[in-house]
Amino acid sequence: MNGAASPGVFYRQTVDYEEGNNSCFLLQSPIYSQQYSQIYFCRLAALRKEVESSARSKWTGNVLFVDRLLHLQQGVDCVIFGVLYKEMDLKPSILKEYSKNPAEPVPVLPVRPSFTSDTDTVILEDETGRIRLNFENCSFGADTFLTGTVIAIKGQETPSGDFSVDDICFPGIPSLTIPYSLENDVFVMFVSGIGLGATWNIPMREAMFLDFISGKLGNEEDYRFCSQIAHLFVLGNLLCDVGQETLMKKLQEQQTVNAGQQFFNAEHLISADRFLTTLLSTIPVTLLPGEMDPTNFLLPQQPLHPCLLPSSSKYISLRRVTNPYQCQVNGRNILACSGQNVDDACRYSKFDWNSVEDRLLIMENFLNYRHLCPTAPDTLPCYPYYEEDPFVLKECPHIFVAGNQPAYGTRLIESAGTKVCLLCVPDFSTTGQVVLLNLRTLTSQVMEFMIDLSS
Amino acid sequence: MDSSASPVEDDIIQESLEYESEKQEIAEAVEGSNFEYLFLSYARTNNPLGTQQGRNLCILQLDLDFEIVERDQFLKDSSSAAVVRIYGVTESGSSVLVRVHGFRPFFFINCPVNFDPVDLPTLKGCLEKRARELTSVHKCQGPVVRDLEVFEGRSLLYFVPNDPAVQYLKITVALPTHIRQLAQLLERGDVDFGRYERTRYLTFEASVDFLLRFMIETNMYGCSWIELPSDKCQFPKKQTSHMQFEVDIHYTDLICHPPHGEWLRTAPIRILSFDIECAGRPGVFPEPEHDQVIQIANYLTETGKSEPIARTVLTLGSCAPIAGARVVSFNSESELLEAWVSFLAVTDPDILTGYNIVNFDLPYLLNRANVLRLSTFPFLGRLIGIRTKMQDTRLSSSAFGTHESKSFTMNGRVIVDMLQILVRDYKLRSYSLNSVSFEFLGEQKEDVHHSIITELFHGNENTRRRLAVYCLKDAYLPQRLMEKLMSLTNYMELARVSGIPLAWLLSRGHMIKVVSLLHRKGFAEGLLIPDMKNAGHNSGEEGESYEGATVIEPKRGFYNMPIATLDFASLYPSIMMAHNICYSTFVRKSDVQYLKPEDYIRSPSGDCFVRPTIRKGVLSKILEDLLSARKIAKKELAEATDPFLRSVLNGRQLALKISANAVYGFTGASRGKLPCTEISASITAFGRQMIETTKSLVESKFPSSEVIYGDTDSVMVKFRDELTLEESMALGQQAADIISQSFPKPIKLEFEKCYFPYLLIQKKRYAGLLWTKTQTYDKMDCKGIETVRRDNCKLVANVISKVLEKLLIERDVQGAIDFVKRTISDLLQNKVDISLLVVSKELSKAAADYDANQAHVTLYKKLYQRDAGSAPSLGDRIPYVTIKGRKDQPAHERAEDPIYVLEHNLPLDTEYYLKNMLRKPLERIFRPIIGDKVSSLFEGEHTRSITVTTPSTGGIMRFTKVSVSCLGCRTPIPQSENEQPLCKYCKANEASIYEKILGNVREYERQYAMLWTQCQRCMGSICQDVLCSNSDCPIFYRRRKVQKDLQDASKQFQRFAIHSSPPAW
Repeated sequence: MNGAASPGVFYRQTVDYEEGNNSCFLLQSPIYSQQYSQIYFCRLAALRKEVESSARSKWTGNVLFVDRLLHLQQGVDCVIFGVLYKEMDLKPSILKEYSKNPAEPVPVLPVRPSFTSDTDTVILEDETGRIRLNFENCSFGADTFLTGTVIAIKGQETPSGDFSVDDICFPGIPSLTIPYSLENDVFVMFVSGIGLGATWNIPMREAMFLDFISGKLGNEEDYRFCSQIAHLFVLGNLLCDVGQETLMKKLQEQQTVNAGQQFFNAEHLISADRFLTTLLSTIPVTLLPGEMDPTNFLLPQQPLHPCLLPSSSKYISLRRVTNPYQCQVNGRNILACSGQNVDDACRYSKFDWNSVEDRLLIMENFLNYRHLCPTAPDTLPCYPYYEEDPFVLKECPHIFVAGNQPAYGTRLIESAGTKVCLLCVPDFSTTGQVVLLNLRTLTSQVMEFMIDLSS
Repeated sequence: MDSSASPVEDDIIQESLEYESEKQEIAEAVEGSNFEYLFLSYARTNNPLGTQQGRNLCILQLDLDFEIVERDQFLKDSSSAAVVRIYGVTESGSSVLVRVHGFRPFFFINCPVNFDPVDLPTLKGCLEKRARELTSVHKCQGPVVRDLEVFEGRSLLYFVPNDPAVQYLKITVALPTHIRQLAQLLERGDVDFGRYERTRYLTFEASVDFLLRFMIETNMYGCSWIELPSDKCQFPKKQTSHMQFEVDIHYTDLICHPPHGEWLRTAPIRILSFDIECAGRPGVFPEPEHDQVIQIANYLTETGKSEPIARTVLTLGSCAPIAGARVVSFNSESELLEAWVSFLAVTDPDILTGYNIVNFDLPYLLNRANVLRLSTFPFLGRLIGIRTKMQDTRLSSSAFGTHESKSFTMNGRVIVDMLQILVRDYKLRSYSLNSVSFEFLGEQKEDVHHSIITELFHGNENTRRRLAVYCLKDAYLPQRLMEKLMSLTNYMELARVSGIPLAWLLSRGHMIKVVSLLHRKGFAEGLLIPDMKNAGHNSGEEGESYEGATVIEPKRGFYNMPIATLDFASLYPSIMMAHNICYSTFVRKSDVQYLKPEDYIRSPSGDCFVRPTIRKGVLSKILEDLLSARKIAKKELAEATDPFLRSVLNGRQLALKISANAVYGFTGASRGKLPCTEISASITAFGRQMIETTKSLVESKFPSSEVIYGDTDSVMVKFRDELTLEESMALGQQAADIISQSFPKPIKLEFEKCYFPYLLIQKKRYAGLLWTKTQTYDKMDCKGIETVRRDNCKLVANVISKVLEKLLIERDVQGAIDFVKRTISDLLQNKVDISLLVVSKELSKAAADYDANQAHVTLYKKLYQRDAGSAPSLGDRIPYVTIKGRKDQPAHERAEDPIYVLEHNLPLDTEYYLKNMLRKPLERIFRPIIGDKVSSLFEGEHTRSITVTTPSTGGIMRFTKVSVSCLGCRTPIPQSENEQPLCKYCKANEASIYEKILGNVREYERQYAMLWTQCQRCMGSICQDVLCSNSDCPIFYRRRKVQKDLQDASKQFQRFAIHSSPPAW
């Protein structure tokens, strides 16, 4: 364990690393003959009890709890439960695209930072029906909510058939274990969006990063510090050239079906393989796929296939995992994702795309909603689960980290006497930043690799 | 080129409805059915009328009819009489029935030769005596001939030199039916007038509908306000209707306000939109003889209120509650139907709407009640105890085509079927409620096939709830459509402008509007309209056709320069006004010699009309009124800010335009009320002459200019080859101004638009980019290029619109050619989405009744053999694609169900699509541009690569054995290495082969997510499975296909995964 045996030689610290329960994210033999309704059904079934108990402790006294929407009575003050659904005029719709351009085989939907508008309405649905929510008598607005969230609502049905909201209640942050305390500082590092192959990429920054990790950069202080970094998480977008649009274009331009076409730039794959190999010789790595990486598109994204990374895959220190992914490092539960869930939540609520504070708030909300990606499947594509909704959070992680965010940000929140660290890891290819997290204190720091070309 | 200016307009209604049936029997003692208590909260609020306080009662008239009474209690008169019933609403929303007494119908005949007025009583006696001999008149209490007087006037038809006034006899009779009976006797000369010689009399205005007569007499317009002086109102003791108030009044005491100024406003009108669901048997469209009505959804609104008054669904069997709606369940179907009658009676709607209610919902309910022997059901009108009867009607109109339909006696409720409105007013590819809602409301609705309805019905209260939600949506959408398209406002304005009841606008053709206007204007001037026997006009043989509008032979081609378009504004109306063309100014050929030459105008077709200085034509006056009213409405529209007033004014100006254009058609309608081919021929002749004159004037005043095309009311001018849009517009304006001066007022040649570029394919077929200002173009304007035809697949429409876009907007001929080639290449390689290749036809009669072999019929038989239960039924539209078959197998046998094709990987006959569907329309477009090179589009490199899918069942596949093959090169992989995805030779390329398959997986995953979430959204629930079976929706086939594609791709993908499961730690 302990670092300096002799001056100049530092041994990298090691950590206890345990896989979390990721089996539900690994799809062995997916089937697609079902529809998306089941996933909402399962989500509601899984969280109904939780939200009810949290509502019962929030609203004590003589409140009527209505078990199903169909038993709702007009004009009576009561609490109802269900899944939220937001109707948004600006929500991209394939039908709208078809009506604009009917010849398009399957159009690409427009993407932008926000799809909210003043006319958005929120609907609560359960297995038995749906009702439109009316926020005139409360301080909430339609703009903070997300489709797919399980919620309890206090209010009353109006004569016009709406439900007038007085107050709301989410399931709340799930319980978490108190981790054992650590004596020494030990760090894990998070990087995301290295984006090998991106045109705007600065190759020398990656080289510096590699040099730093392998302890070739800086002075002895730096080496010592570096040796305290026990593990590296790559949170998606190691590569960059599989944007959906370029893929679509390639598919369309393809004149004949039989030509063996290559969708990914082999060179980039080779450089990614080389990059990983270099890393792996000095530090164990957990590799999550991201939006741009060569794996499937629906969440959960499956681990990158070894044939794509022939030499690095041979290292036992490489864990190719799913996105999202959970594990335990030194008794700290880490829940990691590559950031699509946070991005999507930004687009469909009033939160500012560029504000990292807002993004941390979204992550905290996810914990409150007990759901990792409420907007899936409505606006965030995911696998059509039909027996359970694996994105429901059964326990709270100690560290909840999202990759590919516009900037670095962190927040410590208290839950049940324990600290929970929320972490936004910026995109490396645009910022040159990586994030270091001290597992002992759950405090983090950002580190930037910069090349001053002027000198 | 106004479509309404069709030369032959012949609307005829063949109604089996006889006037006798107006004498309604009142069913004895029909108790108000016992479900009214359920709906009392939806009843109209009880606002006192205020007549006690001496306020006059103002009512917006919405419908009217009449009844025959043996004796008139109000008049204390014991003779048979017709009482007009007016159904209306007050400003505060109270419904009022006004019974108007004392009005007797009348008609005119020419006076007997050497008539002496002292003989009037004798004549009256003779006529009465003769009338009494008619058996049908026996029951009439009191005299039949109520009055006989001399009337000085003129016939509307023909101007007679010196314009002498003529004496006519005005015959007033007891009942409306007597008019026709007496007129027939007089026309036959079957009345003995004592000392006067027996002769066949000419009758005038005997064919005027009684209600129209009444409205003309009282100066009442359709949907107009009437005022009842409080001291003249009498309130009957016994209520005879479901309306809130009933009033009796004498017709002379009515004050009718013409719809102007403050009387343009409207009152709160109650509109009920409803929909029924029936539980059909498998494979058969529901029939009232066998299949139950299981749900009736009602959406009740009031104009001016944003929230509905009631959203109620009546269900058979228990049904779980629906948020925001009221569910009322019944144990028996009879109760359900009775409850609906109660609902109608209590809520008292003025307008009944829905989608296809006239030909489906209402007949079904009435027939079903009949089957159930439910004597209390057929009372859907507003009068207590008056049975609702259903009749078959046939409306043939050149404008609307021939439609068989039903009519109902619904006293006081106007039926506005949104399907009929849409079919009349909009040209669409599909009129299904679904596609119409998508088109106009941007809303897709779930389409539940009737076979699923039965399943849902037999489920539990939750599945029935599901059905009820669907049913409610079907009731809600027609109301939304009505609101969005402002159909009610527009039709009410049309009723006001043309002066006929609202209901007539829907049940009759265009002509009735002109008839009303002509009578109103003519009668005010003492002009009597002769009764014409159909096609009995003296002008010549039946079927004689006159020359239609001119078309200047088009100079075909692709014009890459601005083409100015000069239009005659309201061509035919302005010709009629300019040349004073009318029935009343038309001079008989034999009479022309008695006129001074300066007193008449001779039309290019040789007929003469007197100048307005001698007598101004009635038609001219009508048109002037309409057009100046339109000008005012447009001006007010420009100034108005209130959205509701704006919609009224816009509806009004549209109504005025429609009415003005209908006048010309009326004169030419060979089977109409007053056809006069000389008039319509003269109008078109003037039109032709004007087009010719314009052409020669343009070409002489603007050297080097050329008229490349002209049709009916417009000419297309190419001024010079090199010309900017600005210059062209300036020249166009100049030309319009100069040439207008050579025509009499109010004919005006207008310059409004340029086409640039312009593709002229042939006459009445062209496309161009339309510019009215130089900054940006307005739109792409296509005429006669059928993209909405249903017997084409969508691919054709899509390709053509895209090609035109490329040619005209992007001006990229090569791009258009490349696009066509790429599409053809995609088609041949099977890359075109199947939904674009689907053609659908309705199975309109039983399969055995089709003579020729038609694709959809052959397919129907095939489907029926496959599974009788799920096979389509009569009235369903059958979608199909054409697949490859045996050599020489006729195309109709190769029609196949698209879903079946998807599931079995059947190969499509893409060449058939190319040759029979795409080629002709594309050739037409490209020939003017690339000439004979056009065939290169369909031949060459891009047509060489052809992909044919291998069917997964049948045929050759029965002899094959499935074995694992390499995903790279398809070589079979030996059993020993069965787990491997690749053969040993492809192993080296593993990454790139993996990536290729991954590419497919990602794309299909993306599609899967988009398509299925969209369906979930449309359906209006995220927790329930999508059931929709709307094959019109662009998603329908794609979402099925993507499931299969993704499953297949994912299976290949998994072979890599199995091979290399992640290392275990």
